[in-house]
Amino acid sequence: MTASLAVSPAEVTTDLDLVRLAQAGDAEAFGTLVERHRRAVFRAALACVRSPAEADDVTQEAFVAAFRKLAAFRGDAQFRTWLLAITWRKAVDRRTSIVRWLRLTAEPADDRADQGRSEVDRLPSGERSQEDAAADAELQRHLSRLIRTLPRKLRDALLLAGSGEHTYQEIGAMLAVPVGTVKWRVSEARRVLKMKMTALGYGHE
Amino acid sequence: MSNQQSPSNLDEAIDRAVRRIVEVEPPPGLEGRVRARLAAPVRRGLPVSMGWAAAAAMLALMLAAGVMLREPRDAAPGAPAQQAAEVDEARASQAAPSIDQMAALNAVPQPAGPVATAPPPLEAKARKADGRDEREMAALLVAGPGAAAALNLPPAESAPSISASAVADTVTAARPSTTAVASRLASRSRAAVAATPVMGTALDANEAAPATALTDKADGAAKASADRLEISPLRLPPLRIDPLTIAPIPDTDRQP
Repeated sequence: MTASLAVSPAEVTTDLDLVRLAQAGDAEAFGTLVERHRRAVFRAALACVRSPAEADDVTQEAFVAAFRKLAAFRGDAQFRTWLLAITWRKAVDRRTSIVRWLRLTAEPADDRADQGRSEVDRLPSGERSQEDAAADAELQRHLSRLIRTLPRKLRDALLLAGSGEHTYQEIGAMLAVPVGTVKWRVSEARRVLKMKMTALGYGHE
Repeated sequence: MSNQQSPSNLDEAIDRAVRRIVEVEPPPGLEGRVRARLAAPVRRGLPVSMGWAAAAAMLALMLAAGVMLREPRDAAPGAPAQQAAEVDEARASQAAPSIDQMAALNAVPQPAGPVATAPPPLEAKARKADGRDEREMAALLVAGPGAAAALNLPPAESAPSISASAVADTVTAARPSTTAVASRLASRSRAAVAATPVMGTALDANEAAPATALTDKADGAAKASADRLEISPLRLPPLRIDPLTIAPIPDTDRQP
């Protein structure tokens, strides 16, 4: 498909058309691509680095890197898949950064645990009783801790699949594994979580 | 409050926990921030692998520095108490020589030179702390037996001598079932000791003539010997005795 440079980016519907416009120097077309994929990119980064602030930083880095590499994009794969792969590499680089490791080591764990939670999440729902809300909060706290302790491969697959923004194909492209492996990892992560929750006393009728 | 949850509830709880982690909206204004970054000059930082490599290099440097700082303290001369302990230990081992040492001292027909009467390395270490015997041994090595007499050193009879019967007793005690072999060893040892000139009594009076020159030479040699005591030529290879013939096995591997 060849994009016409005379067409406005707002009228272009496909990513490839926008990419062609951006390759031709149309900054507005690239802005449209950013707006279209910012949520998927941000959540992929968040699944990896777990901190919204860091995920935002990674998102910016990924879009900047994508813009600079845009001339090399040939269209063999979908732009979104290509962009997410860039994002995941940036996020993994950030996760394994020694500077980040030093900062997290110095930072108390309790601060990190609450970093991704909004104030709304911490308030009990008005529809539930206070006792149910407390029990649910405890359950969620246990689950959050168990998800953090999952093996990295299982955790990445589970969080990416649970974000609601990525297909199994996209997750496979990000993690560089077949789709079947992604599915197995998600299933295995859930099995491990349920087993550990059962050991904690949850899951009995 | 209860922990009773059905498996389906657990699945839902897992879904909610995962969503709570990742279903976060990106902050607004992303496009503007990306444009600002694109407009900014390229900032090149160290790659991740370079960061870890730098950290590893720093750690290795610190370890090396630690080792280098620790070595001089280990190599420093010990406290007087430590030196005294070393001397005591050496003397204790001298007081109770092993069967091999006794055989080396008494059972072998020793040549007239001073090298054959040299103490084992551990004994030489003990003598280093004494200082006086160091001079004696250096004089014997450099200038021959006459120098020892010129230095007015006491004769070697004062040194603890080990008799052949003691060797026989020790061997008998160690191997009571081979008393016949031990008695043969004792008789051979007696003959060897009788044929060996004892250090000090074997000094020739003619060799003591240039006493002054030899004294200076012996002093210098004593200093040099003290400096390289650890590789003293007084070390002798361990003597091996054939248990059947009770004869020393010639050391064919000995370096010239």
